Amino acid sequence: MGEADAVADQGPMTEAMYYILLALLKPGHGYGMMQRIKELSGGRMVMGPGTLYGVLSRMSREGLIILTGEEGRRKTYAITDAGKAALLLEYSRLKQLVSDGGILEGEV
Amino acid sequence: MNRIYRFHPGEYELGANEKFYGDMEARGWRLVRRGRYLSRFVRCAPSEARYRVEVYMPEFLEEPGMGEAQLAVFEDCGWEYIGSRGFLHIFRAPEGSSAPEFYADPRQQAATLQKVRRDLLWGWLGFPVTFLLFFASFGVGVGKPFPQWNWAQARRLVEIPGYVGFLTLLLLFFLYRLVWDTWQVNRTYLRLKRGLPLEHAPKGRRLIPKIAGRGLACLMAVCVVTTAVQLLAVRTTALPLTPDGPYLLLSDLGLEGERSELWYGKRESCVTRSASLLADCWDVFEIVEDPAGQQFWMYQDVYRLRVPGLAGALARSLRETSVFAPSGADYAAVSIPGLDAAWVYGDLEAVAVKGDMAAHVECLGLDAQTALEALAERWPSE
Repeated sequence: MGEADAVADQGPMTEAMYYILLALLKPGHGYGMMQRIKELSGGRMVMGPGTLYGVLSRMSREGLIILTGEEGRRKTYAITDAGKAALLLEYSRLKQLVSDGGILEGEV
Repeated sequence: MNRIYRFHPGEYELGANEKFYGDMEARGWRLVRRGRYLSRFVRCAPSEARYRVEVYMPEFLEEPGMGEAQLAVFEDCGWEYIGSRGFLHIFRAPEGSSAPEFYADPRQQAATLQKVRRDLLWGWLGFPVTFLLFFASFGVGVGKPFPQWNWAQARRLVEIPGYVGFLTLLLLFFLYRLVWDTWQVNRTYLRLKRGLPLEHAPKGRRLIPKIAGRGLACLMAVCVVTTAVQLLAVRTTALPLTPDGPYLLLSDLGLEGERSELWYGKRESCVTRSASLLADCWDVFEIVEDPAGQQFWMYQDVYRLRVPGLAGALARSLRETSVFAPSGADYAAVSIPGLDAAWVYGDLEAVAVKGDMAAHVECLGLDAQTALEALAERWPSE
């Protein structure tokens, strides 16, 4: 079983994990990630530093992201292949959810 | 005065700590350092500030404290890092700043408390060990198996009530902290787990821990002072030729001879006088050499109790913790006119009670029962 499958087996990703993986499609450090997440979500998602570091530690342990370098006090992370696979899997799941919810279009 | 110290809330009371530091800054005192029990503040202009505590416990063998990269993220977000104590890391931001809260979802913050909860469980597992050490401290020097340590405790209670009180209160303090901390951390954990945010300014819950914690601390301080005063007043002097207390001399048993010294340790005849809150105590040792060159010695622990009815309980304790008899059950009760109760262990040891007086006598080369009869004669005059 691959790491992405292992993540899929844990059920849906949290919103924080999803956005951090999205942000790390372009390698970045903690604060940069927070800014990028805010930008990607159109300001809807404001991630706190506590959440960010908790999720980074977990995803690093699970092999979804990797430390690529350090600039001064800042550590730079990037998404791994397993992380990309997990992200794509989650994206497909979310798309499926939206597609299934299409029947609501007439109701709204 | 530009610097003050204040007791802070316990480390498991996250919201109470945040509120405490915020309130202090509003009064013109800014936190600079958190210690084990006290926090240090320096004078500043009174201002509104948000304080937040982050729980971070590194895994086994990981470096202690937050990493520089982790701190950099907090600081980039607008949080000033004040410092840490144990697993608590304290940050500050001026009120109204754009520094975001640490967690948008309380459930993620709940995850940070899981390791803290596990560690508290170790505290509970360690409590029985502390409890045993507590009893072991009374058993030191008794040379008896565990069940008889209770009797050693009763004897020490009469001799040094402050010391026994201090240890008992210390044990109670550990228990109280464990119960309080467990309740606090679980309450916070369950609240966060339900998706409710941390209470950054909890109201009206500090009274109970303040009363319990400071009350116990004050009582412990009283115990330490009374023990110190008692120990400073203990006096050991050469044994006088005429007793200056309710104890016996070997001459009371009809033994005549010269005062001598024990062949090992060169110990000479002496009396140690102490007074506790519960009793006046005489610890007496006498050694005499008769004209034929034979040595006779006698040890006595004599108590005049201040609490009526305590002598009977102390007599049981004296029998259970005596030197030669393996246990209190090995003593035989004897009837001695003039004493309320008396017991002997062969010719070696005797325990006597009369009114508020109690004594334990050990003698070598003499009859313990004779010593009891001599005590019966001595005590009515006391």
